[in-house]
Amino acid sequence: MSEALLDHLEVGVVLLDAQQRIQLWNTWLVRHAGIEESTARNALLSDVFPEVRDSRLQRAIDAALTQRMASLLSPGLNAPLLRLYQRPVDRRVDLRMRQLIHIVPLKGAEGCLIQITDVTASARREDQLRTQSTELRDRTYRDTLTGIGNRRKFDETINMEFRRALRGNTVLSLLMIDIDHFKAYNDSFGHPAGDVCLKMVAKALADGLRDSGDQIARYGGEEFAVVLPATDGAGACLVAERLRTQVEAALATDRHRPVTISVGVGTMHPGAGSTADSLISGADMALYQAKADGRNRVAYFNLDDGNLATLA
Amino acid sequence: MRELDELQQDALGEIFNIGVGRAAGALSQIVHSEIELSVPQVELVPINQVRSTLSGGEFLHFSSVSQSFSGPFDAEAVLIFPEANALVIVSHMLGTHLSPEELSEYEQEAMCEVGNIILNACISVLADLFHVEFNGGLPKHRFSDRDGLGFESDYDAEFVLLLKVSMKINQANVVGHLLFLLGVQSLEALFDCLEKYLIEQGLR
Repeated sequence: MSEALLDHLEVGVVLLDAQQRIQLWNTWLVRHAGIEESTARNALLSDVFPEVRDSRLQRAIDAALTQRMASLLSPGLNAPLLRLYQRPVDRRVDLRMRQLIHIVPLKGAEGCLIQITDVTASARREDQLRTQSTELRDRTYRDTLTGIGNRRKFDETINMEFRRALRGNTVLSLLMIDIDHFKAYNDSFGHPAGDVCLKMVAKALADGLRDSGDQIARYGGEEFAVVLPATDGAGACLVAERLRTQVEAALATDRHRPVTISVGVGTMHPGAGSTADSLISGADMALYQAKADGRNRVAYFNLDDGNLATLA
Repeated sequence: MRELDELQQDALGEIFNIGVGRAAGALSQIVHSEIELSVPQVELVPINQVRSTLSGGEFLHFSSVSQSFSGPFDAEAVLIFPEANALVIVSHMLGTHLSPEELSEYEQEAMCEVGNIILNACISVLADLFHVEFNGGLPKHRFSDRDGLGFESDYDAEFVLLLKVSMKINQANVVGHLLFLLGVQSLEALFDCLEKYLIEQGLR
């Protein structure tokens, strides 16, 4: 009666004795392992499934037999271990089913019970959902033309970093960057050429950032913004000047004409009552100053003391 | 109320550090990167004080994995992390980025396995050093808010051996707690085992 019951289960059931010899092998296993019950019975599990040797499953079996500990092997943390296949055709390409395995010591007897559940369908769905959600998140926050962050990304970044700086009482800097005479460039050489120019500038800017958490986004049209967490005015000016020279060098040989950028640096210690918009306005003011002073240069506005200056 | 003396506290600290050390080795093999685990603190508290000790005010949601053990003493072992910390662990282990809403059965099973490895390793070391044998059950995972931790009502226990667990995984430091919920008799049996161990070690 109970043997017949086991044969109707939609899970694999293996019973091992203390010597790790197979005492029970249900029909599910015959079907999915392609191994007859008569062959499996009394054989060592590691002879039937050589892949068990030195595996985490083997250690879990040892723990069940010698220390009477139960274990679980999840499909997320373990590659499909046992040579079990949903369909015969999967065997030819070794496409193993995804497996959730429970190993339990027997109560009042020596030996352990192994239960294998086929979670292929749900694991595959999980994989798909995860890929889709990653792609979606990526698309939501990425500028399609240049591949860097978009305006939505910038809005989230600046607000998050502003709150972080406020909490930690640290300094925060922001660069607002504008391509010089971009409208004229677009009008003279056409929008496709303008798009290529935007891509090259974005790449030169992204290449010039530090690894320490600088975040770049396309703010709009030909404007870019870089958030520099925990960076003071002097540090931000160094980064800004490096970005300016890097763009100048990268686009000096542009096939239409040399391209340069102007950079406005805003810096502040966020305090009570101030908002991220104050910092954006400050950086904008500096950018305006850099343009007024002849373009292809960096200007700086310190919101803490009101100091506005253009770098020589 | 029984209290741990300094010697007992040190001994338990050492024993559990060996346990989580073994678990760290097993976890590192799974993710192919270095995972460090340590138990910086061990204390014994009445069960009605656990909630206030645990929450520290700042956390509202918890993720826990529990397993029951029976032997010379019976205990419900619970590994508990603030939900945000549990997400950090699962994200690093599975190599994906997740929000609590996205955490599915799949990740809960992974969390179960992580807890299972840590809890089994600790109990195995206790069994080895105390020369006793335990029976371990399968892990169960659940989410709860602070009010729903419900240790008092869910288990027939009066004391909790409370361990702080510190986990380092890919630069991230994650802190959680390991709880052994014990009834009065089980607590006495634990003290007996511990005393024998201290005598055997020549410390008493």
